[in-house]
Amino acid sequence: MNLRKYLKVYKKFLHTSLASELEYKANILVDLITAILSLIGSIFLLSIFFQNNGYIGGWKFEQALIIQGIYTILNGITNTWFNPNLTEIVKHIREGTLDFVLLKPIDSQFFISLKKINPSGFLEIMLGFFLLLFCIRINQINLSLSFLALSLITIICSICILYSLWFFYIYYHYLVC
Amino acid sequence: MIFNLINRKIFTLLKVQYSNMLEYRVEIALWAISGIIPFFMLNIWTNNNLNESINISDVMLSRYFLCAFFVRQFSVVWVVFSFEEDSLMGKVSPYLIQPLNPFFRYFAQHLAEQITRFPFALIIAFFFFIFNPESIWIPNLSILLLSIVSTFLSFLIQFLIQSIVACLCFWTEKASSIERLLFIPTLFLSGLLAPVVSFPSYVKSWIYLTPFPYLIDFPANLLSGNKTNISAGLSMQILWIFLLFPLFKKIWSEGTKKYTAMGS
Amino acid sequence: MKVIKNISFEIKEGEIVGFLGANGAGKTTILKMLCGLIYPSEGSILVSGNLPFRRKENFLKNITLIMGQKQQLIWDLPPIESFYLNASIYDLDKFEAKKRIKKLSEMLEIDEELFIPVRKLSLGQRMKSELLAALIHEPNILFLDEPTLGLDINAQRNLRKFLQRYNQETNATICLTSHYMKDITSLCKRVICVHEGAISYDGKLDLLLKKLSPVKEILIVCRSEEDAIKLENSGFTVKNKIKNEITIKIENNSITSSLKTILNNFDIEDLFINEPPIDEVIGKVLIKKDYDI
Repeated sequence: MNLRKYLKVYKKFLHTSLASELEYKANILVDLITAILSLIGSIFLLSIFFQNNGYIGGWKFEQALIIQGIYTILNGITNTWFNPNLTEIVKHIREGTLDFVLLKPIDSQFFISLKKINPSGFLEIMLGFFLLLFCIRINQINLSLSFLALSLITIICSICILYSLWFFYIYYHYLVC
Repeated sequence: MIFNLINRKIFTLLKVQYSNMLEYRVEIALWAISGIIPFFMLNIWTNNNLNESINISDVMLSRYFLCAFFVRQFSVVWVVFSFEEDSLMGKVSPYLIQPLNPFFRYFAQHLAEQITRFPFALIIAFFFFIFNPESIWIPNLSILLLSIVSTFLSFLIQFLIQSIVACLCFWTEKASSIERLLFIPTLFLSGLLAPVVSFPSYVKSWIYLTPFPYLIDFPANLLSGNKTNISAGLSMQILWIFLLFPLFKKIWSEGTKKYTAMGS
Repeated sequence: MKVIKNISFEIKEGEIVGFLGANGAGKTTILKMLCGLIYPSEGSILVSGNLPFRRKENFLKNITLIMGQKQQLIWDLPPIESFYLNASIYDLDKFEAKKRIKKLSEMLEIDEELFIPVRKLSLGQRMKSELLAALIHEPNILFLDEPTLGLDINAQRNLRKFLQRYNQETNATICLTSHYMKDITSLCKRVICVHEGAISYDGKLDLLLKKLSPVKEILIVCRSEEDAIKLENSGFTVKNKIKNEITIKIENNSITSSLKTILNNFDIEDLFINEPPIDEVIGKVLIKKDYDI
């Protein structure tokens, strides 16, 4: 596999999908507001659960926020990469244009799962990271190198699982059935 | 022989239905998620004794969430998705020629769908009572009728809101993203995840001015016998319908004007 | 179910071959097998020395598939963006891509349309851009599935002109299916007729036409009615006669000699040779099973 070519193609993917999304600026704005509101709503709901209880299932509010942070990051990744490409695959299959993809001299899975990108999901990823940073501070977590590496590995694993689940679903539904 | 034939017929029918269902997977996913959520939430509330702080007993809370499930089942709306798809497929033009507002078509679809959903909802309620026998209750007839009315009004409000959003299809190609935005306050403020009484008082007073708590919280409280102001709730529902209906009429006429001017 | 059964053919480099057949006869399936999109359950296919279904990179770089009304261009962006995307997928550098876009857009007669979002282009303009996107890697083999579907008459003619020119300039092999007979007659010397998954005819187009319509109808306008009566009784197969106008049927192979006799012996005012409409002739192919020539 020619890595340089794939990098170049991915750069083009980024360029074209960002440019496509920018054709609908109002849409991006709405998506951004949705992302912010849903995070606020989730934290608000958490705070209601915790308003008279110090612990739920042995978790403090500050610790529960970490779950919220990681969820927000993963949801952001889903919205940035997985969701738009799945919609695209469904469209390919509906319109019968998958043939074009299969005849390109490039790995079809690379093409099909990375072609589209939705920039408004970036905000969610960033919000999730900020929430995590905030949690690290209020929970007074000591940042050591091994701790960071371990968290990074687990998050990468969870992203891989998420990717496999999403694309397995579509593969099963459209290509097997 | 005959058995074989019947078998085959049933099998084909199921297959057709299944492929039909796949067409509506977005709605079905929403349906499934919003269907189960109240029971998850009930579990969180009672297992952690969160309800002690808001003075609602376990039994009353379980009735509340069961009712929330029922109200949600009969007020789910997906006009935006239907309309967006129809407009992308170019079906709107033939609709516009007919002497009937296309939204009546969607309205009828929703009602039919609710009727087919009724037995499933009853089955789920049956299982709910098997696992929670202490929460069985029989609401008196007037309360039952009133809550059916308020559930229908809640459905009407949501139908109007979504129809207004759907009309935005005439201006932007992606009205469903606005629907996703509106789904957030609906999710958090309607009482699907937590009864509105449990909200801190500084937000409560504001929330009651929006249409959201009248979508699920009010009808569910009414039906489950929890404390609620019946006349105030009903009049707020009617008020919102009176506000939203002219808005829908207006945006519909503007939208069709724009649509026909573009000539697509 | 067998869609295609027992077919065998060979196409030379630089040939333009038309696939004819009714809806569902298997033309598209054959094209897709040649591209490597469908794996044949039996038999073997070689396209420029490659097994298509392996879809090796150097094979894919050598072919292209164009389907009428199915588009690969990015809907919300100007075509030029899709061209550069394809260029990067086919390993072309920016300079080379620019050169090819310039050359092809001149051949296709498109210019400012390249910078307008695809959703705002007309079908004809879109099809030209689709062609450009599909040809940017300069493939040697073109598979076209109903390329003129839905285009207006001028756009159809331009497309045919372009394909002809492309074929002449690059010596590319072209396989196409079409329901517009004009596409076939003006582009293809050779046709392959497909009937229920089998080949019912493979050979020169004009041979097929001759075989299918062995007689021509000739309308003769005589100067006088007596002449017309004389002509009627001189041994030709007469189709009908109205006053001094008479229609006769002549076998294709004796047409020149027969015409000579008529012109020499009768006083003729005017003369029309009616080719049978090609659509009708081809229509016969689509429903018939075998043509042994």
